[in-house]
Amino acid sequence: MELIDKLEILGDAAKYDASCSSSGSSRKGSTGSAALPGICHSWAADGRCISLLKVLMDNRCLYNCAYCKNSRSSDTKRAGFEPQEVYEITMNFYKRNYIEGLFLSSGVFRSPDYTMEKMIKAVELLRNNGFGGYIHFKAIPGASKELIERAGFLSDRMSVNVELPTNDSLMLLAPEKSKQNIFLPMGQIAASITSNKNNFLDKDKFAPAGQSTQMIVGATQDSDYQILRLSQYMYKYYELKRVYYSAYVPVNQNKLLPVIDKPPLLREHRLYQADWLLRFYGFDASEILDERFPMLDNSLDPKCVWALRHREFFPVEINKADLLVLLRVPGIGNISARRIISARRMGPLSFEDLKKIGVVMKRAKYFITCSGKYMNGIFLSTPQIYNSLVTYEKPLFLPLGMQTTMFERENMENAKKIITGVY
Amino acid sequence: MENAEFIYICDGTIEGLLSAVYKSYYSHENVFDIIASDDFQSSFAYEYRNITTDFKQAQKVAYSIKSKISRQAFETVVNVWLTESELRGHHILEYIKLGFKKGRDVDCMLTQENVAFMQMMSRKVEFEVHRFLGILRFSKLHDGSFFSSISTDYNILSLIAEHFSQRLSEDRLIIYDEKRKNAILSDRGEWILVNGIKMGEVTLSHEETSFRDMWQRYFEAIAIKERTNKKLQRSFIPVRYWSNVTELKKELQ
Repeated sequence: MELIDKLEILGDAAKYDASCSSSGSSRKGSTGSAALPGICHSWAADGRCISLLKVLMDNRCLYNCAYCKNSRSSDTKRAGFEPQEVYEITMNFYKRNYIEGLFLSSGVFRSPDYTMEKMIKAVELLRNNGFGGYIHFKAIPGASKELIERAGFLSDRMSVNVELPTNDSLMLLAPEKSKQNIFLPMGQIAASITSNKNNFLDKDKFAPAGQSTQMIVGATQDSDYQILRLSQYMYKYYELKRVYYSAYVPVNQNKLLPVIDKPPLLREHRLYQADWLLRFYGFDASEILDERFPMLDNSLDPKCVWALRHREFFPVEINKADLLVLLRVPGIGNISARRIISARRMGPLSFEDLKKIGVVMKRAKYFITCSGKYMNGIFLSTPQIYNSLVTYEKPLFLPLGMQTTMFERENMENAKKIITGVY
Repeated sequence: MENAEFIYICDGTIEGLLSAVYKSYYSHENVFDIIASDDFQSSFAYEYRNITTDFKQAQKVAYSIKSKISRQAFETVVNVWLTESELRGHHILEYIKLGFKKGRDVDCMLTQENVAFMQMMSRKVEFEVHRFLGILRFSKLHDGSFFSSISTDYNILSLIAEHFSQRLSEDRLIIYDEKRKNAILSDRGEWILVNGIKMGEVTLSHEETSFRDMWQRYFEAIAIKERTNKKLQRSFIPVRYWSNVTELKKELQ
């Protein structure tokens, strides 16, 4: 098989992994360096960024997970790279500035250890030849501790995908896998990251850019609340840098899987927004969702929903409030909150000033006061605010055909009632 | 004229700009704007003065900005100069004046129109620099060096040089700015900026097309069909950049 055909098959096979980030590590080789903030090099026709050469080492697999394109019984073209080939392509793409590094994953071919060893060989070739670019290494569940340890010192980031957030879902769609199988390596990686954290250079650290994971959204009945709670748990106990959410795309015919005509992109988007609230806005999963409201709202982002359900928290006084309080205001993000705090040292801020600072006033104005006064001419009834906020939702992230359903009147009326509590 | 407003004309380089700032301080003239000689258009409203670039003076001004205001402020001044936008010299003068009065706090004065403008323009330059660290593409030439041709909104060559020079620190590179006819030449980690270059045809290495083809095939394979969203793609990488981006060039035809 020609190298270009292998690359097509093994790139195609890797595309459902959502992670693309190349940030959080700095190292230097004779060719290349990992830049700390991460760099996107291109954007594919689906609008997703391409930062790393994302490929599988091999797409032959022992497992038969129902949702996976590369499962044992799935009818797809198969191929496998030799370590030398991965090295050649990565180095040449990197020098041409197509990519920031390599994201290497694999189907489980022959055995977890056999697969891991082959992947490690490819990565070793790169590092031994002075490659200082970014490497994201997907640990193979079931591989030995020693191999995971070796991979971690060669890579910038490691990950093990959770894919399904509950035991029931795992039993249903991937009965050959087990919870231990996933969380054991994740725990080992977390422990190795922590114990090597203080090594001076990033190149001597274990996965200096931390570990990440991914969950599939919409292949099972699991609720957003279950997903988000698990994310929070992993951020807390497994030193996770990021959880990725991947809208389920039907790739196999299987009666265990839901029948959908489009991947649930809006749901994926809302989960990312909620995830952001956990990591950067000081929210707890139980504040965003609970048993009564286990799903994120379609019509409005989770921060606006929280604000509408907690009118007692507002108004927030711009010239006095702490950072964590400012961060709860819709329309104020991390950057504008910090700007407010530094600008108000020079004198009290007015609504005009807030605009200059970059606060999104069409969202924020209902929830703030400047020097004790609300902005002129705004209304304060919750349903009215809801109506206004909804009109500013611009779903660019959704392909054209999908934008309409989001704004169907009927859905919106329902959402409005649920959020505002006004029937 | 007693209260004449001056426009200082410099050679367009950062050193030229800083020399003009130096002169404006010591001449006590009322300087409204500093422009590059290439942008000169005479108007009766102003008096004009040609400024000779003086590296010592430029260094002094650079040092004062860094020590009396902040390093960040110096970067802001450089970035705004590289935007080549109208009235950049005017805004820079105002900003430095205010900065010398207020020190590093000047960057907290976001309600001042001038400060807000400087920061906004500077961010735009930073954004373009970051964008080009990603979307710039090299081709390997027959002599083993790597060549890239770019077309940027702002004059950012000098800001991206170090990154690429370090990234390919074992190779020779040429990064050519199509609009401004300038180029970065880098040889194993050391680089210089050369002005007024005329680019001829380049000869590619024999393996170049095969790697381009591989990248193209990979690029098409990695997109998920069910998620196709060209509008989103274009919002991240506007079409005006596509002519120099290996994997997108084809779609322009």
